[in-house]
Amino acid sequence: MEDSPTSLDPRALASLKGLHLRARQIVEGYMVGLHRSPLRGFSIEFAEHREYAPGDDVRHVDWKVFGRTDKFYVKQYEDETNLICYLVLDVSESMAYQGPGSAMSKLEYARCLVAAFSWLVLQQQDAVALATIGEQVHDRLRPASHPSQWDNVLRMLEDANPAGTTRIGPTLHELAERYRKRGIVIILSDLFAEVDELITGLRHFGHRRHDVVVLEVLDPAELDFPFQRFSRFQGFEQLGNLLADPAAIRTGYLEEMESSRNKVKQEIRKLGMELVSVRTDMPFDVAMREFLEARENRATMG
Amino acid sequence: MQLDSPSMLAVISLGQGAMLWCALAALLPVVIHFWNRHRFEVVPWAAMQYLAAAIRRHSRRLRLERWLLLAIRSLILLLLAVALADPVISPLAGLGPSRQGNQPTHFVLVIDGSYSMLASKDGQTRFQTAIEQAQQWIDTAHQGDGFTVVMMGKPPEVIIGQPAFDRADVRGEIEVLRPTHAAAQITSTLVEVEQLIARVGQKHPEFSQVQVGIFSDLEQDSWQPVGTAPCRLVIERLAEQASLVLFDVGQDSASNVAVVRLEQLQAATRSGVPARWEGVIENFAARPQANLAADWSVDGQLVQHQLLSLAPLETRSLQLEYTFTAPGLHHVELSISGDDLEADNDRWQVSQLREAIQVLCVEGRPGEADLLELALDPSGEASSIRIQKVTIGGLVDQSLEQYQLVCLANVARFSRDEANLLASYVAEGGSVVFFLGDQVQAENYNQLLGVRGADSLLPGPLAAIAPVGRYQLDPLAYRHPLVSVFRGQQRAGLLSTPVNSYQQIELPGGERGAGPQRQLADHWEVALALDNGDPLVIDGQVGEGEVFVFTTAISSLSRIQDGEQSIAWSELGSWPSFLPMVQEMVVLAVSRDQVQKNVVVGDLLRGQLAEGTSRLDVEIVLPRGDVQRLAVQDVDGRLRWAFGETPWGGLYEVRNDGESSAIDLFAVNLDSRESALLRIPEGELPAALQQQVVHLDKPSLLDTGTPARPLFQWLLGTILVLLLCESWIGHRPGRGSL
Repeated sequence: MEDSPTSLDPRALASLKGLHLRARQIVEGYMVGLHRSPLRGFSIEFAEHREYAPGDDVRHVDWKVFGRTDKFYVKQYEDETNLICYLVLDVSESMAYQGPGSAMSKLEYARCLVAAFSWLVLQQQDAVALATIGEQVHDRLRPASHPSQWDNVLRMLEDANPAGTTRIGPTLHELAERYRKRGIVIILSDLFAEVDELITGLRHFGHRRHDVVVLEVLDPAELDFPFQRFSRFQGFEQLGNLLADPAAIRTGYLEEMESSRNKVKQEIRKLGMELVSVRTDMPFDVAMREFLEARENRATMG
Repeated sequence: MQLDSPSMLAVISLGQGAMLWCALAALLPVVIHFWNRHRFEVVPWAAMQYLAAAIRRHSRRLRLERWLLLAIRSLILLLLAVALADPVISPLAGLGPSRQGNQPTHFVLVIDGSYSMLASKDGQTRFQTAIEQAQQWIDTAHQGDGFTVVMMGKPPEVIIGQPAFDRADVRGEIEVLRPTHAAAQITSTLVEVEQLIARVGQKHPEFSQVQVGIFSDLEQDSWQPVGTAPCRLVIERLAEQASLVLFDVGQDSASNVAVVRLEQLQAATRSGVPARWEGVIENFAARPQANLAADWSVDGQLVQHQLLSLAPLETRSLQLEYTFTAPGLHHVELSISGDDLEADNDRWQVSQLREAIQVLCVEGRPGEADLLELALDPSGEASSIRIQKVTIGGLVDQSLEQYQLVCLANVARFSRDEANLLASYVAEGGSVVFFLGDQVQAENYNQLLGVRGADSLLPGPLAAIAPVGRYQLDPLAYRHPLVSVFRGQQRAGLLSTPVNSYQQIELPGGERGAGPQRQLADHWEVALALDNGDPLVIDGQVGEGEVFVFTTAISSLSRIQDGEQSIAWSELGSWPSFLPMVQEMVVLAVSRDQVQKNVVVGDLLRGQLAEGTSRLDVEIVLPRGDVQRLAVQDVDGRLRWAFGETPWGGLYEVRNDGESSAIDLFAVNLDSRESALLRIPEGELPAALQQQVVHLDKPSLLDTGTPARPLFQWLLGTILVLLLCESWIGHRPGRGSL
């Protein structure tokens, strides 16, 4: 996390009105200096060889062909030019939380990321689909790759209001049923849900052979619990109120939080999926780098 | 306020009980706790399930911590309040129980300042031990207690009369006390204590109890009065209003030798005539004293040195004969050395050898004192005795202070002024001799000289003139110094002195002639009597002076009819026995002149300046060399001074301001009755004094002086530990804070 605000700092971006501007700012700021799209090269089935061209990833060079022909060929995959990126955004009430030191709520932060991801995907002529979920699927945008899809995405994001509890597990089941064509599924949520239900839902995506990345979005206050004075904590999602001395309960809270997150992380890893945690005070470029590094690692392992 | 428990055997008392109200502050943490529960911040929160789970899991520990912190914080404030109240823990054993409750107490410290307290053992005097004991006793007091201090001496001295509340001040005050050379006066001291308690009680009603601590060696002679009714009454009254504690600092095995007496046996009437002194040394120890050095000094010069060996309890008399070569003030000292008590190892005697002895002879009619004049100065050279003869009319014109002896020969009557003049002369130390005779008007004598009570110049009223007879003299075993020179000198003519008549004196009891000695007041003594028992010469110690009354006449001018024949009252004046008697009288008068210069500790020194002096003050050089300036007062045209601070034995020299030569000299000797260093048996003490006796040689009881220990430091230490606990519990790593 940077100390001084950059153009991609949530505090700086919070001053920009409209998701469009924010997303463009993120993408443009992040893409500066990159030679190629970070969302290329998802591992699907091998299709053919083509001659190596500058900018291709050397990891994809087929060294056996090089041995036989003394020429560089890279492996071409079947769906590489026909990627579908399924973006799933949790808009349950808990995502509306904005801590005392945060520039935007978890939902606002996640919207920015979704907008940026979708712009990147659409830029490389791939298709983007979007779903907002809570207790159920609130809204859904079918996959499309035409440029106007981004406007659809932004509109849907702006219309998405936080409501209801996080019952992400059953909702993921429902979505997995609908997303029949394989693609990259990016789920953005605070994961304040039943772990078993969540894992079951994710497993369904696994059955569909989707490449799943879970982006855990949390507020710094939820991770650090910085409160000092005796407080009444008003729960989101009809969870009631709690009177507590924060100084006395802090350690216990952090232990509970850590334990639950570790369990989710382990279960997701077991499913062969990636979990990336971001804090809403992270500059967006850092958050995207975290995400893409995780992607890179996964691609290497794959 | 008293916080005590029967099982604790100690009393915790509070110096500032009012500060306990601060203990209410212990409720503050509880109030703040509940107040805070109503003053909370509202925090919207999303991760509720984790918070709820944490609270659920740690609720018991949290509650325990909360109440523990609350208890610790309350306890800190409570202990702070108790610490501010200045608690003191005192032992309940020994002297502790005599104190009831923790109400302010008036402590009266009565410290024996008599010279027996100077007896030392192992380098420490009894007085030093008494001061240590007193200081330990002071330490048992609590905050708010007051102290007064009385020194037992002659007279008793109130050192601190208004209660002092600062223990350190009182300790400092008694630390600088020094015993005097006076003997203790137990009765007057206890009366003084009683009055002190009453005075303090009126001014300080907050003292609900009184403790009187008497620190003494219980020297037998000084303490003997406790057996008398007046002293017992005072002690009983004291015991009713105070708790009496007796600290016995005496020792049983003290060894003391003292010079118990030094007196001039024979005064020198002029230079070149030897004078004699007698000193008495007494060994009070139960063991013999060998090689005891006894030194005689005259005017500071050693004149005689001898080594003595004294048997246990032996009294040895030593004599010195010395001839002064020049007139003036002289002093003689007898000293010994080497025992447990040094204060009584020296005695002094001051002698004044005048250039001439001044005698005033007042004649009732011319010629009455002719024979007396002859007897006073038989050589006629008038070298050492200067005689002034006047008639009665000239008496009031005389300044009697310049005379060592005033003789009144057959004076018919006195005016009131003349009688007063004589009375004051005698009261201040003068010597007067009345020679009666046929002119004496008994009624006038009785009215003006005989009705002055103890200061009467006559031993009894003059009665009738005895009928003519041949009266024989009775020397009364030559006991009196006036006639003791005739002992063994029967041919000197004393017993054959013809006495034909005399003035009868009505002695107290009214039985004239029946054993006169038994009928006289204590200060009168018959020196020479007649065979019918009537006194012929009576000697009286009146005031500071001396009076001789010769009941018969000394001149042949006093006549009485014997039938048809007129005969003289007596031939005493012309008889050979008269001259030695007059000379002895002069010696006694000169000795009397010196009585005022030889006093005991505590007595008043006084004197007057020579006529024509215009000084306003004199200097008194004390035995230790200190000099005190003293104002001279004009009393009836005479410049007089008086000085009462004579607590030390030794020579007190009076000088004119700024001059080095002495104008007067006084020997102040201690009253040696305490020199025996015996302790009064405890059984002879009144019951009220026996109830609480602390003996120096019984350490178990000395423990009762264990000082009260303040708990302040302990409480602060506990508060510090509690603060650390509070800090650890409230901010320990596991509890978590930012």
